[in-house]
Amino acid sequence: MVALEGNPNTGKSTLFNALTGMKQHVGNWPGVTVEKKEGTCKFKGKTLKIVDLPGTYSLTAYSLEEIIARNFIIKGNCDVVVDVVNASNLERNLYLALQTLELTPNVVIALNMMDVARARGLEINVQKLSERLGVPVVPMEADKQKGIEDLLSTILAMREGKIKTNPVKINYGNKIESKIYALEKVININYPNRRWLAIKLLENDSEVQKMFKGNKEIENWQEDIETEIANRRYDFIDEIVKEVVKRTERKPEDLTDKIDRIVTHKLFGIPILFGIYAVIFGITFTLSTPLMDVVDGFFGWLGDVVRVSLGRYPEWFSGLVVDGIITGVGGVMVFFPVIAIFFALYSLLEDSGYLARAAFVMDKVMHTIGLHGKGFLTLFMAYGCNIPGIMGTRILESRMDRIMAILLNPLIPCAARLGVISFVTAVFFKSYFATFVMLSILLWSLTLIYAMGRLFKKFLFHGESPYFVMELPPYHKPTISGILIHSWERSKIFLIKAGTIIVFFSIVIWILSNYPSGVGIEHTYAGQIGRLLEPLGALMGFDWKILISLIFGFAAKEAVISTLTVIYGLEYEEALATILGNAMTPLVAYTFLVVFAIYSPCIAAVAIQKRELGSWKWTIFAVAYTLMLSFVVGVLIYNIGRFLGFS
Amino acid sequence: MNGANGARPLVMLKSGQEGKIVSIKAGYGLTRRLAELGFNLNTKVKVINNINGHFIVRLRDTRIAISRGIAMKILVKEN
Repeated sequence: MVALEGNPNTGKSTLFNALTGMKQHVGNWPGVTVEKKEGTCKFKGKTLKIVDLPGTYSLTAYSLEEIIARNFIIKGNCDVVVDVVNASNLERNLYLALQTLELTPNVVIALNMMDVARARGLEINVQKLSERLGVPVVPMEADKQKGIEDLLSTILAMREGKIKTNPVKINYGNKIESKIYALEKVININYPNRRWLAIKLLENDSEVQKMFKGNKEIENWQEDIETEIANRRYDFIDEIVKEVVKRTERKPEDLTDKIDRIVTHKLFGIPILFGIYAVIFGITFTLSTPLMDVVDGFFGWLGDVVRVSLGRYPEWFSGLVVDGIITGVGGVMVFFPVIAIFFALYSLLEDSGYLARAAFVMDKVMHTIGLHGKGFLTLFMAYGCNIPGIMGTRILESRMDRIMAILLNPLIPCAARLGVISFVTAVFFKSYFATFVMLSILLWSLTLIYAMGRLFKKFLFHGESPYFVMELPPYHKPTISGILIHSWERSKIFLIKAGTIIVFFSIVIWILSNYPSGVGIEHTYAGQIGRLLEPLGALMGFDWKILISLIFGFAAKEAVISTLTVIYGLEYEEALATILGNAMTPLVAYTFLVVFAIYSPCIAAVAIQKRELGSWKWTIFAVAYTLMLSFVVGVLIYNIGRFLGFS
Repeated sequence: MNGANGARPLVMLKSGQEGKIVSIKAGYGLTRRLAELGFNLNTKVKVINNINGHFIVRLRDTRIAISRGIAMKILVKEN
C-alpha cells in the first residue's frame, strides 16, 4: 500500500489520477466527512493500492485533515509514503517533507512540476537534494506523464527493501535538542519513534499529549516554543535550498502577477468575477439545451414504447412504470447535461487557479455575513446542483463556517430550479422583461442569503470566522483529463443521490396523485393535502394545485412542472404554457417564482445536509427556516404587489 | 507609526515594496499557522497587490493572500 501526501497545489491529485486512471474509489475516512480517495495501479505485474491523503501544509494535530494524514502514515500499514513536492516552491513544500521524515523512513519524494520550476529560473540538483534528505527523490511532470515509471520503480524497490533510506535529522539547536533529549528519557511507552513523540510534545500536540495520560512528568511539562520549532525547520530548509537550488535572474513580474493585478483589482475584481459567471451560465445553457431535448425525447419515446409493450398488464402497473419510474428517472436525467457542463466549466476555473482568486475577491463581502471567502465557492457550485455545493463545504475549516454554509446553500437555485424558473418565466413575461424577471429572482436569492447570513451570524454563531490566509497557486493550463475527472466526480454525486432518492419519491408522488383511484385529482391524497393547506396558500395567491406542485417539488424540483401537467390533466408539457397563462396572474406567477427559488431544497439535498451536518436538529432547522422564509417572502410580495395595483 | 529599528506593520507597505519579517504579533494559533506557511523571522515578503484591506504577498516562491487584520500583525523592516 502506498500513501500520497503533499501540500495543496502540488499536482498531487493529477499524480493520483495519472497513477490510478479511472480505477478510483471515493469514500469517507471513518467517522468523519473528509473525502478518502483510493485506487489501484498495476506496474510490472504488481498491483499497488494507492491512498490519496488530504492535502496539508503540516502534520500537526490542529486540523482534521492533518490528523487523518498523519494517523494513516503511523497506523495505516503503508509500505511507502510518497510526498508530492512542488519543485517551483521547494521551501514551503519541504516543511511537510521534513515532518514526514521525522515520522517514517519509508518516504519517496515526488519532485513534481519540474517544468514550472525551470520556467521560473530554478535549477534543482536532484541528486544533492536526495543526499541531503536521505531518501530517494524522483523528478517528474505528472501532468505530462513524465517520471511516473521512475516513481513506480522506486516505490516497488522500496517496498521490496532494495532501497535503504537514512532520513535527515533536523538539528533544532542546543536549547531545543536538550529538551527533546530530556523528554525522550521520560517517555514511558513503547514506541518506535520516541524522538518524534518528544518533538510533538514540545509542539503541544494534543493528540500525542493524550498518549501520556498519567505520566506526571510529561503532563506537567509546559512549553511555548512551537513557533521556534517551525522557525528552526525553515532555517534548516533554507540551508538545504541554498545548496541544491541555483537561481537564475527572475523577471520582476511574471504572467500570474499581471493577471492577478487585473482579476483581483479593487474596483474591477468583483465585476470581472460576475462577468465570468455570466459567461459560464451562458455557455452552460447554450450547450445543454439541445442535449436536454435529446434526453427528454429519449425518455418520452421510451415511455411510449414501454406503455405499449405493457399493454396486457393492468393499467396501474404500466402507469407506475411509465408515469412513475420512467418519468421520474427522465426528469432527473434531463438535468444531467446542464450539471455536467456546468461542473466541467467549474473545474476549468478551479484547475486554472482562478477560483482561489474568486474566494479572495469575495472574502470581504462574505465576511460581512460571517463566512470565509472559500464559502463563496460552495455557493457558486450550488448553481449546478446543491448536493456537491453542500458537500463542498468540507473545504471550510471551522465547524461554524460549515454549518452556516450548509444552511445558506439551498437559497441558491440549482440548475433544476433555474430550468423550471425559466419555463414559468417564459409563459408570463416576454423578451427583455423576462430576462429582467430572471435576474430579479437571482437577486432575491442573493439578497436573502445576505440577510439570513447576517441574522445567523448575529443570533446563532458568535465569534469570529477564521482569518483569511490562502495560497494562490500560479495560473496554469488545466488538463482535459483533470477536468473530466473532476467534473465527473461532482456530476456523479448528482446522478447517484438524485437517481436513487428522487426516483423513490417519484413513485410516492405517483401513488399520492393517483389514489384513491377513480376519483378526480382533487380527491386523491395529493389533492386532499393541497386543499388542506389552501388557506395558507391563499395568503400568497396560490390555489391548491400550485400548492401540490410545490409540495411535490420537495421530491425533485423539476417535478413541479410534471405535477402541474398531471393536475391539469394534460398530456404534454407544451400545453401547460397556455393553461398556466390562464390559471395564474403575472403577480401570482412572480410570487410563485420567488417562493419556488428559495423554499426547501429537494429531498436528496436534505439527505446530504443531514449527512454533512451530522445532526437532525440542524437539518430540521435548515428545512424549517427555508420554508418559513419563503412563506413570509411570498406573502409580502403578493400583498405588496396587490397593494401597488398589480395583478 | 514606525517602531523601533524602523520596523512597521506589513499593512503599510505599498504594492511592489519588500520587507523582512522581524516579528509576528498574533495569537497562538495564527502565529503557528503563519509559521507553517513560511512566515518566519527574516523571511522576505513582497507585496504584490494591496486591495483595500486584503493583501497578496509573495514569500518563499509562493503567493499567499492574507487579510488586512493579519497584515497588521506582521512587522517588517524594509531593506
